[in-house]
Amino acid sequence: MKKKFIIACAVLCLAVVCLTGDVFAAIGYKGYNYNFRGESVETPEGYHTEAVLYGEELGTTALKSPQDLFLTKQNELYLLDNGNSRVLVLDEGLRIKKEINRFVYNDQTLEFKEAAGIFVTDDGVIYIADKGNARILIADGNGKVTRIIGKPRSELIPNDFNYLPTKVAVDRRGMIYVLSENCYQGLITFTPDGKFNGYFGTNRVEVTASLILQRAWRRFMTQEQLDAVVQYTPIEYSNFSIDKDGFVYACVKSTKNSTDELKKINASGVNVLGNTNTEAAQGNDYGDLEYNVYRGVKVDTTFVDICADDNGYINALDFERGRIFQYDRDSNLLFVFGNKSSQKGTFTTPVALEVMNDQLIVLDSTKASLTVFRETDFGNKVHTAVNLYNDGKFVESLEPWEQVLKMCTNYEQAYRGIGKAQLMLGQQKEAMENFRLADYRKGYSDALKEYRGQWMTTNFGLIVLILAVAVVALILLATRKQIASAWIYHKTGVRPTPAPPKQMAYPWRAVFHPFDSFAEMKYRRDFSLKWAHIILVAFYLLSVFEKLETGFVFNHVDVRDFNLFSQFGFTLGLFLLFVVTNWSLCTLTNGEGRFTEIWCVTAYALIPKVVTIIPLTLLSKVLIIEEQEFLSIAGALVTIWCGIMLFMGIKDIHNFSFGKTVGILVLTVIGILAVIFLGVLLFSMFQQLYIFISTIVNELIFRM
Amino acid sequence: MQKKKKAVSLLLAAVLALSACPFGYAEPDQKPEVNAQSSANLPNGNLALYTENEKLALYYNDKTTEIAVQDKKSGEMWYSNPQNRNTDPYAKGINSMMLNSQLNVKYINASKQTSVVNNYVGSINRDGVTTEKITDGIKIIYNFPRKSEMFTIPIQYVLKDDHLEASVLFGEIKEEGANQIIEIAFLPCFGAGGEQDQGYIFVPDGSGAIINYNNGKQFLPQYAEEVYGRDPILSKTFDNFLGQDIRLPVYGLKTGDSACLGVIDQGAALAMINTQISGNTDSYNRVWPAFTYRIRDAAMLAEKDSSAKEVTLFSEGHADTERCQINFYFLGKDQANYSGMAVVYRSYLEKKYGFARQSDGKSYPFFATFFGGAKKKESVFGIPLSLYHEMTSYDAVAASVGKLLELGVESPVVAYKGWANGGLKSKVFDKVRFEGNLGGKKDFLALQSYLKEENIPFYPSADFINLYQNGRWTFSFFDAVKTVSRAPALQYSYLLSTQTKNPNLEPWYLLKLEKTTALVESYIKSAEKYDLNLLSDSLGRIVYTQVNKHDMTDREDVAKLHQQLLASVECDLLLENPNAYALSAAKQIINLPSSDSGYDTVDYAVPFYQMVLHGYVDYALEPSNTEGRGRDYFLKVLEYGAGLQYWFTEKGTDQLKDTEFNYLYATRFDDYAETAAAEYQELASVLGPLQDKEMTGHRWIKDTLAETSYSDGTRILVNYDEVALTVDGNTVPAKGWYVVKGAAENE
Repeated sequence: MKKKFIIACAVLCLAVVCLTGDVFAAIGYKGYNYNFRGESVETPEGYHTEAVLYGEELGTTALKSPQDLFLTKQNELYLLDNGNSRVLVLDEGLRIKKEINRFVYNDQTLEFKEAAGIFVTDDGVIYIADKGNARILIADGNGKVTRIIGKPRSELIPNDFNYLPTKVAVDRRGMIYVLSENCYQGLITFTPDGKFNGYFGTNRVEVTASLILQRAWRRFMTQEQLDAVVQYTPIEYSNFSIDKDGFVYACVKSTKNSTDELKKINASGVNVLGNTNTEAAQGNDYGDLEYNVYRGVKVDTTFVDICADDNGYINALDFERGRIFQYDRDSNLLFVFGNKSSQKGTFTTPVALEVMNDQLIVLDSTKASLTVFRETDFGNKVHTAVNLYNDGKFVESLEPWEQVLKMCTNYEQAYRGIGKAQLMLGQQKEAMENFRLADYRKGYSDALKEYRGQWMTTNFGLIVLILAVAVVALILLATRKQIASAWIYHKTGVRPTPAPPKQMAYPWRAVFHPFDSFAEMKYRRDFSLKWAHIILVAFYLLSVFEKLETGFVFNHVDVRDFNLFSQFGFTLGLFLLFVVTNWSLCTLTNGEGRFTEIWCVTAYALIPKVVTIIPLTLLSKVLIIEEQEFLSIAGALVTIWCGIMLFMGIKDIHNFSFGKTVGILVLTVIGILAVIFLGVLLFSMFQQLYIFISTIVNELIFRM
Repeated sequence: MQKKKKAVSLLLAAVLALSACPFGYAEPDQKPEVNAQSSANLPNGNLALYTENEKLALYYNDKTTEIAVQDKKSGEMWYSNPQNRNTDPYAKGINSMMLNSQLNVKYINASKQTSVVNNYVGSINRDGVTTEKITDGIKIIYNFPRKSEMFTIPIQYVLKDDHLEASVLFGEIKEEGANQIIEIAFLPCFGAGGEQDQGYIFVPDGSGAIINYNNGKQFLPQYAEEVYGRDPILSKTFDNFLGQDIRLPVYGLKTGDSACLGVIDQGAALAMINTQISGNTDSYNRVWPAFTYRIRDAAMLAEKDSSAKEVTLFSEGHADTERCQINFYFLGKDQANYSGMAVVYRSYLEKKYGFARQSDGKSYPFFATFFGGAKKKESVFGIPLSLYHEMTSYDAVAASVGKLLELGVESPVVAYKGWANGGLKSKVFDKVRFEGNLGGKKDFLALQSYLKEENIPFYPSADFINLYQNGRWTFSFFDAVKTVSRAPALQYSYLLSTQTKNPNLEPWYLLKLEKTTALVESYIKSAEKYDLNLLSDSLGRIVYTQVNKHDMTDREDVAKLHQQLLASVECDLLLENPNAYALSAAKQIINLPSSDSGYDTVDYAVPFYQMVLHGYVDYALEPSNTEGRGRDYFLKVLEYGAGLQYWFTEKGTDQLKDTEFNYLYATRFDDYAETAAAEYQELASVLGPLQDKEMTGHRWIKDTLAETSYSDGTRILVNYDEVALTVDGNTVPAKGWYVVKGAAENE
């Protein structure tokens, strides 16, 4: 098929215009993709600029504010040249084939007014959305207008509705879909004979924080107030097209949450587009994941056209930054290219996009030109791999993915693809490393499961041996005192008196006997600050260890975002806050505990946590996603244990009753929250002050 | 969004208004007699012969102060202002006045408002002109007497043996009152081509670019770029320009059978090269330089806030360069094209900078650029640390070079980045500090002696301008270059997506001249001990204005000092995409642009830079393996007669993918060694015998078929098409090449 096309194209090229080759490098833009952290990273260009065609190069006069493109099944490209009130029909070599200069209705020549959309049926009937004149023109290939559909009439449509049809399409049944500006109900559909039929694909109202807040307030509002508040309306579509299977591809104007900007709507009006990789950074956010704020306004991708090609790739055109985003059918971002600038391959006002064979064509209405992009070597390799991968041919996709990676180690999907293939080929260890690079935890977990199973089978003898040794060692350890005293008795005939507990024995004893140890400690006034400090230091260091060394499957911390100081705040800072707050409250409520005692008891209560961090963290490295429960339960048990110790400790050192201890702990928590709240308040006040002063200083510098 | 659009359109309007300036044009229809001694045959009777030498004659009109130069050999006249400008159908009002002018001055008044005035309206029409005869030329002093202007700008024209020197005497500019000059556009209409003319404008954008006369793109933004790129001390909110900078300060015009080349001899670093196509504000195709007198910095305050505002700042001091001078060379029929311009420019470089043949011309070079290592954040037993990440050790470089030789790469040239000093983006280079992580001094010396034995040039890199980390007696507080507002000039990385500053990466600084000088001296002294050559990362490419308390060292002075610094270095130098002033110091060059910036108004790119160098200095384009364009890029290397460059790391780069060094994404030696060697063999078979030949011509036979010719008459046809193409009976295979051996020169 492709070869055939190349030959056909070659013939055409020789005959008319040459579009192949490398006349312009991709210089006006840099290719990029997003990594799992949602950061843009450089990749080679998937498409390069092949040609920029103005009216002259198309074989006609200059275009004037052209607005839309439409590609027929016969690969004829219709171009709506709004400013000249004409339609151009281009052939595969992008040379003019036919020019429809005049649109005549009942012997009267019609002029377009801001016509923005064109659609052509298989049998050559042209539909034009003539926005400024609020009408749809239906014409034959010679410009004879056979019918005009004006503003839809229905009880559903308010009389003052400002009908501004921008895009039009017709499905196989002849149903006419029209997109109108200011129409939040979705697409307007007309029956083949031009009667209003209803709405299609109504968008949801976007859920933002202010909307939730408003919904809450509404309960307390009077009717007048209700009338005055901002109406939250569904997001408006900006463009749509219908593919050969009857799916409607649509893009919406930029959204505040910037999710679901692209949609694939089935016949029942349900969006079926979504990323199957639920861990992808992108989720359902199409377009740029990074955004900037300029003059108080969030600058985000604004899609104006969408075009799904034969391979199921979804190409979408961004007006804001002049970019084309290409996704595969599972919504994985393949390439980003294009820019806003005065260079070839970049745009001023990009309005429409079509895919013809392996060329991607973009129409710019200000530059009045068509820009033709063609797949690069790199683009080709990625497409090959993606096609195989999406068809489930993981093993076959291994080689193409390796090719992709050779050309760009930043291309994360390749790691996932390679990992899947390796997993099927039984190379679990390599697969794990690749899944780690792709940040694909599900895959990593699957590979780990197999790897673990295999390791267990091959090392069964070793495992049994280790287990046996461990059991014996444990028994010996548990009975070491009895054995020692039996040994002494055997040697000397004297039963040794048990040695008085050493200092460490208290905190340690408290772990296993929380209900009496603390009272005993209090009674003996035997609190070891030294051990408390050792426990605290260990707690801090081990918490860092836990954060960074927990197995990949359960670890979402990135070493680059990790901050030792904030970790200090979350552990020892919180500890300090608890001790101080508790001490303040207890002094007020006649608690008997002294500051050092609270300090020690709270530190001792951390022992279960401290001693379990290392084994649990190591364990997390060999557990898989399905076994997460195990870790959660273990973690919960440790927390409960710590809680009991803390509770008993506080109760005993203050000599409180059960109820009073509960009360004081609740108060302590409230107190901590209050302190944090005040801290945040102070911090943001200082921040405001800092911004204020630095702005003034800046201003002064710039003025002087 | 709406606001932004409005701002953009206002800006556009302002740019249009400002660019609507003056112009000129060569009159092809009325060719004056070859030895015209009188003014009788000239279209404007007042243009009289002023002075002449064997090759050129200078005419002057004392009423309009316009000049004309006659190339005696061809008889062609070149006018400072178009001769039929009165009949221009487009130019109205101020635009038609500009066609009469030689200077177009942008200035600010006491309240910092910008205005523009040309010397026709501001001086000639107000009797502000005085002239003075000087040796072989004329000095014209324009006094702008109006209260709102009040300044004096002298210019002079001097005929030299084979060229005209036209200068704005910056050192003699006088400003009275509160007005301050910002920028002076000079000879905006010189040699302008009219609507009837056939020809083109040549601009040095990247490798070089051609704008055809009357190409119909007058409604698109016109080409206007700073020479040597944008001054890095100026603030930059968005990094939305991805293109090439001007490296050579030249421009040209070809009209009919003759051409004119303007070389900015002095003040190049202050210049901006502007163009305009007929039909924009007038009917002429023009190219002219504008020189910066004071720096203007437009900074955004609180850009994220809705109360954001743009503040424009002007430097207190002004450029201290004595004069800005353009040398005009006139090319007759046999040379009237851009390859002729390249020849003239090369001989200019020879005279001015002592540019000379560096290449032995014997073998086709392969430039292997290795990357040593960089710092990367990693967790070691739960402790987050910034650790050295090794990419290519000293031993690995030696092994890789050995492999390349084995694969048949005959003359490799080895460049080595991040090889010392803590890796890429490290502290300043004050002396040679071998990297223990890569093998230490012993391994390095072993590598060096191995390369010496094999007779392979070896260039370890050093950076003397960028300051990434304080230390080694270098501190951003004292040693960093400042902006106009006297704050340190921060250099940012920008996000690819939003093109705004990357908040996750630390900004860095630029070192002051004094510090750069001190570092070069101390580093070179240390490098001499080990007999090391040098790849200069930034010196020779980055040039800035140094703003001092009350005055400034302008870019031209900084460039001159950089040039002297490079000249003082005795070891061999490998330079990256160098500016004109650094060219003569280079032994070899890498990273030359493989295209222009692809502006909408530009018709096509040409290998002008390559034509200047070919046969004299070995050069390579940007590395082949990070291009992602495979065979097409290979063909580009062939078309541009360049050496092959590859970037190599021994280790794979997958561990770098989430670091700031992820621009290294396709460099693993084992992945590319064989491809590189195969490409080398193919290229060497074609370009090997041509290494000592000059590149004499280049043309596009078709959109996808280019022809490059060399001084021995060899022509190389390069076909980018997916099918074979046949020209003059020679069939060029698809995505392939064909060599036509040394018949007579073909142009």
